[in-house]
Amino acid sequence: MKKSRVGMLAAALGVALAVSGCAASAPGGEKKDAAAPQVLKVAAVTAPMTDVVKAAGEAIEGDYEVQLVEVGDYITANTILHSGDVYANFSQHIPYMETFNEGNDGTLVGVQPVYNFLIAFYSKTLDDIADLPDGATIAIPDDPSNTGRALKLLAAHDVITLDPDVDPYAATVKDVVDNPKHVEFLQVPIASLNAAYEEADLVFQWPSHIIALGLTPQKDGLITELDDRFALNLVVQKKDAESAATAALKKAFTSDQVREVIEGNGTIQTAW
Amino acid sequence: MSWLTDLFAEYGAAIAKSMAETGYMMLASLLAAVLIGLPLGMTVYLTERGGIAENRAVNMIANLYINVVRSFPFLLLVVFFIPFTRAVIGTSFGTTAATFPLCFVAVAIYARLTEQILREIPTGIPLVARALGATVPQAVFRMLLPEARSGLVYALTSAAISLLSYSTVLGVVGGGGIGDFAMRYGYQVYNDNLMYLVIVIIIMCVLAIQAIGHRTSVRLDHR
Repeated sequence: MKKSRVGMLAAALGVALAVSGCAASAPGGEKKDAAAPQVLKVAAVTAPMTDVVKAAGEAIEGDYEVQLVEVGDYITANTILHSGDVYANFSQHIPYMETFNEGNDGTLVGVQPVYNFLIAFYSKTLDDIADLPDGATIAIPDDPSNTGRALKLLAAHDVITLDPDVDPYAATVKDVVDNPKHVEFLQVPIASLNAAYEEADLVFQWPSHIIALGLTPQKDGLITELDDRFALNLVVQKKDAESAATAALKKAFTSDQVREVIEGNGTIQTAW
Repeated sequence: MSWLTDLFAEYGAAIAKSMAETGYMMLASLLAAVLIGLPLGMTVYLTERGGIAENRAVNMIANLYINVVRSFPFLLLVVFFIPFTRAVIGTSFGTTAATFPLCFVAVAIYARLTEQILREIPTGIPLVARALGATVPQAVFRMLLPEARSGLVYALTSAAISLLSYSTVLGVVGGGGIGDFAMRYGYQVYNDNLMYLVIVIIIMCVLAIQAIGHRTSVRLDHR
């Protein structure tokens, strides 16, 4: 019994070494081998982003192969790109990337906007934003860039006023200087906003999530916004921005295959 | 160390507010643990085969509750509970609403711990209780609880520390608390120093809970 345990441990170690050995020999698929295609690892978190990466993998031309790396959260997608474990990621808009760069001395750059979508506020009880009651509860995201985006949209429709000295894209609830309707903000993760729709007076949401409730921004959004700044971008490290591999990726991410995925999704639109 | 004083100056009030939210969630759930979890654990112990008040049906139902609740990854339990929380509390968001699922876990954890503590009581005691013809309440209040009280306090300490940890994910339903604060104001905006500071604060809280629990437990140990 003891012997077999040692054997298993040795086997496990062997596998671990082999795996780490593979990883070490091809950091982010950098090394070019004349015979084998160069593997470009692209990190993404969830659909539709993962679908786009898969479609780009089918479309890529030349001596390249796209390998989708699915990760659990948006920060991880950036950490592993920053550390060189993947070649690119497709998980974010530019403001989100900039927050990462500032906090981590990062050199990530967006090289190709791929798709964009209408963000909107929805309400189970109201048909018009003007009917927003005094003391209403408004559910907004709890991450920095989406908080700013939600507040900016509310400010554009005079629900609140933001401190003019603050970059509206970076605004937080603290920067609300005028709140004539005494609205209260409920900040929860994007994934919880659909549940908040059941009870808050007004809820911010992405179209990819609100569709689960049968709602679309075009039909059901009380106030909507389309801002190019928030288009989902293909992101690489700055040193790779001009490389041939990046050029091939950009071409693949703007291919007909990707266009088909985006147009077939129904909640997003191409941004190139 | 000026970065430390700067952090406190900027976030001190927010940290204090988050700590108060965590304290509220922990107190409420610990109350549920003692008022419901302890009797539930006692029930499992008393009703099992060969127990003082053997009852297979009750034992099975109590065990089922404990096992099912403890099976849930806590984050999923919270999300799963959203409609029930709304039905009972009236809202599924905010600190009070977030405490609701936490109470269910607190009950399950402490019931199981209580059962374990009772099982370690020397088998002679239940036998003596039977031989003396003690009623179930007499056995519970005169013999089992006094014998187990030190262990029960120690187990409650352990439950409290688990609940502190569980409470950190309640940001998903807007529960707030110190863990959510560290995620949102530290991790998500890459303010690592703030995140580390909060982790140190949480460690100190756990050390304090452990020390208080240990002392109380030793004092109550009459063996």
